Amino acid sequence: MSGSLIEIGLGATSLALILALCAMVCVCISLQRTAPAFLHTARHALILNFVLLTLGCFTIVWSFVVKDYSVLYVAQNSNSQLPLLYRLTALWGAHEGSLMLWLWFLAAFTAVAVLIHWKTHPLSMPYVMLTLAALQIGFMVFILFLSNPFVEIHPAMADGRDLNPLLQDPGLAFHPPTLYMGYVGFSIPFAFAIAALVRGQSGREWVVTTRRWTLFAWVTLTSGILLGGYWAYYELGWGGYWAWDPVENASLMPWLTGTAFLHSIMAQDQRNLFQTWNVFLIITTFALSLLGTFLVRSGVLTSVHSFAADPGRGAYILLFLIAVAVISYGLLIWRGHRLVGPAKISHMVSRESALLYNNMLFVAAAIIVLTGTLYPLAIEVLTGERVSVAAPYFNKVMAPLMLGIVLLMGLGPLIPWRKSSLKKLRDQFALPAGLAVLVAIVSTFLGANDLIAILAIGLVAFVFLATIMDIVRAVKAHMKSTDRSWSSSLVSLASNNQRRYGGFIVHMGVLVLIIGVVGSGFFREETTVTLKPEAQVQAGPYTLTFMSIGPSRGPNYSERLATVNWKHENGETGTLTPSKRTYPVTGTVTTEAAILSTFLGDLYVVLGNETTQGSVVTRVFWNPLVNWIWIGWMVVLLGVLFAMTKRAPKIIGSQATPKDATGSSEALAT
Amino acid sequence: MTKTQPRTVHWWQFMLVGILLFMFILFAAGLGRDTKFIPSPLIGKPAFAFDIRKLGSDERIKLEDFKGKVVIMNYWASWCASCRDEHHVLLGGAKAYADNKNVQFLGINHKDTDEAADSFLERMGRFPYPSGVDAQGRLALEFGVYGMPETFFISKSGIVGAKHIGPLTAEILNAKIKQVEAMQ
Amino acid sequence: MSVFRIKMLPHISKRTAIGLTGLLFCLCWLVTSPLVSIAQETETSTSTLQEETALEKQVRVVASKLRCPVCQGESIYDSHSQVALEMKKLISEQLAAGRSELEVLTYFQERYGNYILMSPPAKGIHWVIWAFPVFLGLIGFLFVYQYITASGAKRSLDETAGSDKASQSTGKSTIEELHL
Repeated sequence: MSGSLIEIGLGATSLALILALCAMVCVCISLQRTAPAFLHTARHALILNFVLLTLGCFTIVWSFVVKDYSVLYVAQNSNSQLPLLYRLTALWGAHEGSLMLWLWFLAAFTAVAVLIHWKTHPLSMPYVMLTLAALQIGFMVFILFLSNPFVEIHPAMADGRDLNPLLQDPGLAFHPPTLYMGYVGFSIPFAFAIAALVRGQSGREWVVTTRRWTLFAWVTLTSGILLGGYWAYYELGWGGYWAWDPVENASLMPWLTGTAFLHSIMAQDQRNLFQTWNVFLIITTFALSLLGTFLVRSGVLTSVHSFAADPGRGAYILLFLIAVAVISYGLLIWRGHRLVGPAKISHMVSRESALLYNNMLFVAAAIIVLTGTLYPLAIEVLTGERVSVAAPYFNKVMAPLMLGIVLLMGLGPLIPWRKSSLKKLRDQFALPAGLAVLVAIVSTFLGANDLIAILAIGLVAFVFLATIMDIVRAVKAHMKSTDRSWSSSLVSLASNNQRRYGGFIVHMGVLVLIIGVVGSGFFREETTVTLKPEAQVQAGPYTLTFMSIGPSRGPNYSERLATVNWKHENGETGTLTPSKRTYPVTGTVTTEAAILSTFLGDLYVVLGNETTQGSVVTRVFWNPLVNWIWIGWMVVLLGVLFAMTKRAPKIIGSQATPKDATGSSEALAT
Repeated sequence: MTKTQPRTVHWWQFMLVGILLFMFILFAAGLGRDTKFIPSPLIGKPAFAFDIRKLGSDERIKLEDFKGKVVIMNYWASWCASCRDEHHVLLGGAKAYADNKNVQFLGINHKDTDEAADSFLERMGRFPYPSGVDAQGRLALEFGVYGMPETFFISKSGIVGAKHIGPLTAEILNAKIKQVEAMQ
Repeated sequence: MSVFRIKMLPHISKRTAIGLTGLLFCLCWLVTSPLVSIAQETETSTSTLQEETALEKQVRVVASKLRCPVCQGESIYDSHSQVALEMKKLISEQLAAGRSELEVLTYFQERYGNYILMSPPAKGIHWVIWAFPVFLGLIGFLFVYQYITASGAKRSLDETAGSDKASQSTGKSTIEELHL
């Protein structure tokens, strides 16, 4: 019965491939003969694709739910003992299914884009549809011919092999889908960038649409990365959340260029600058998202996250990546100049130039992450030597760049467009800078002894103060001119400048996050000790007493569970239970850290090996302020939501004219 | 970030094309390679003069016992899945070289217990040559062993001549023995 | 100091400044208080406690610079694998025998190759990867500077010049700017 169900899924996905091909052909015909009926057909095909691929995904999920081990993918990645939650989420637990999820998001975003932008972007729409249909085809050919999750085996397996125990965690439900949503979200701005290049125009409406989609993709990617960090933090048991693993780097690179874009698009919006550059950033962001997929799946780089390496698949993704890069960068080189307006940067000290430096730093950061990630490959190909480039390298080289970005975070938003002067800057920033130096000095007395940490603390204080003072100044001026109370002034200012104040909130969130990173990175305390029952160990403000260790059982694993009592210096007490689990189906052992999470820091206990005398090697961490990272993330979310509540302005006419364009770019439009 | 001069080629266009070309060539070259292969800096250097216990007895095995012979030193363990794959290759190889007095096979049982190792050999077939015991895995650190199985080919004069990471095949085994036999 | 402050920032009253300073110190306290508690507690810790010795600290430094051979991208220190445990033991023995951290790292490098180091040594060809970020930063900075000047931007030191909206006082210009 369900054997036929998975066939329906395969049929639906195959049909979706045919429909995507149809959509491409129809768009081409409609462009050739200016026949809008064909465009309508393509639109329906792309919307229907979403329905078909939803069905395709559903059949796989259902096969997991009903434990149908005649489906190879289900048999390889689940087991009859596997709890329902993991059977529901095992779809993206391995290579084939996670690509299916990728494709599903692509189809979903395509359908949404085609539905909501149909009226507002009639001239870009054919190219947007063409691009998205081509991307869908690229993925569907791969899924159907090289990594098919619908493959059946006869006879069915009696029971499945298990889902990778490291993935058997609620984190699996959130991290991969969010991350993929972020990656795939960049495909819509990418499609609009292609449309802009073909049409030789990127007007006001284009800015509004690409910015919204990019902001959406950016916030989901940010969330995906941070959820992954949080998951690694409590699941992998090494007390950290970011290891500069190639796959983590692959997600950071599009994040960096995407962030650069979100900033530089403001210059195009306000001042008609950087049009070609913005298109370059979108294309690069999407290309880096695809590169991430390539790196994870091809086996070119080894990483904790690597799926089983398959050169055949790798070759296909590489060809796909080359096709995307040749077409998009080719268009950029060929037609990029058509987008450029006559506007120029008029003054050295202005928001525009601050944005340029911001972009320089973000892109440099992306390039450094890229070279660091690919360096071992390059060295191996060129000299045959094998080297590792890991956390010590990245921490060292990325820290100064990040400090530069934080500094600009304080300066940039407060420098006006077009023109300011050094004297004004001095007036504006002297007080926050002075106080920040004071904070940095005070921090050295309180135990900060690393230059990077001291600078980071000072800069965070600077940005915080400068921003708050700017808001205070604005509120005061508003109070004076409208005679309202300070609170209603603030509300009215913020609700009239949602982007600006949303941006401020995001920046504040980032500051909180940086405090978390600095606190847990530079002030972490860790000890590895062999503990006998009744032995005590100290970590931060806590004293731990090792009580006992014994066997315990879970639904599909057995474990050694330790009991550790803690006592805070203020007298509070409690118990932590770290454990080591053995999953009998795969024979894998995982360590489950026990974490006492507080506002000021985390107490983190992991078990190592047991010795024969009943004592256990235990690693105890005191991670100060680590929760601020997740709090900062929530503030960032809040800021983005606030900025997004701003309704897109209705612009009369189908394609808007840029604010102060001279019409030269319009004339070139097809 | 270009000036509005149509049909002129800018330096950044060359750079972009160059960077992309370089990356794609790199990826293409990277696809086919063996990610397991890690060159050993020990090749060409004297092998560590070990002195270890013989598996299943109290006798000692020393590297200097085999002076003047090519030593094929194979790391194995009962818990290692790939060791099962190469087991028949080792048995076949030892048989083929049984008459060659210049070639000595030697197993190193890595992080194992004598009992587990014995029952593994009972099941898979006993090696016609001795195995040393490296229960702590200390010897593996001296030889820079990355994982199981790994095989070292030590020349007559006690120099590490070649190394193979991962399960052996008969071809690799013969080729490497020939290579190291030719060494002085 | 206060005269200077008032002169520099005409829009900020003394009260606001005091309030901000207070806020700042609250923030400062919040950030550093977990650190202070560490400092206090270490002094009062009693002798029954199991504590990390100087040797164990040294082991940590060395072990986090070495890559676990059977894991992917994890340091020996972070890894729970058997090999990593044995390596940590060996590092501890060698350090206890009086070898320096560098000597221990070299010991592993001589046997495993550069791959065992978490980041390549800045020697031979590998200085490239260490110099590249500096080079990139310089080039990027110069490029942006050159781009801005080439596009005709002036150093506007003269405050009264210019007729666009930026010539309003900075405080107001940030307020009145409407972003869409």
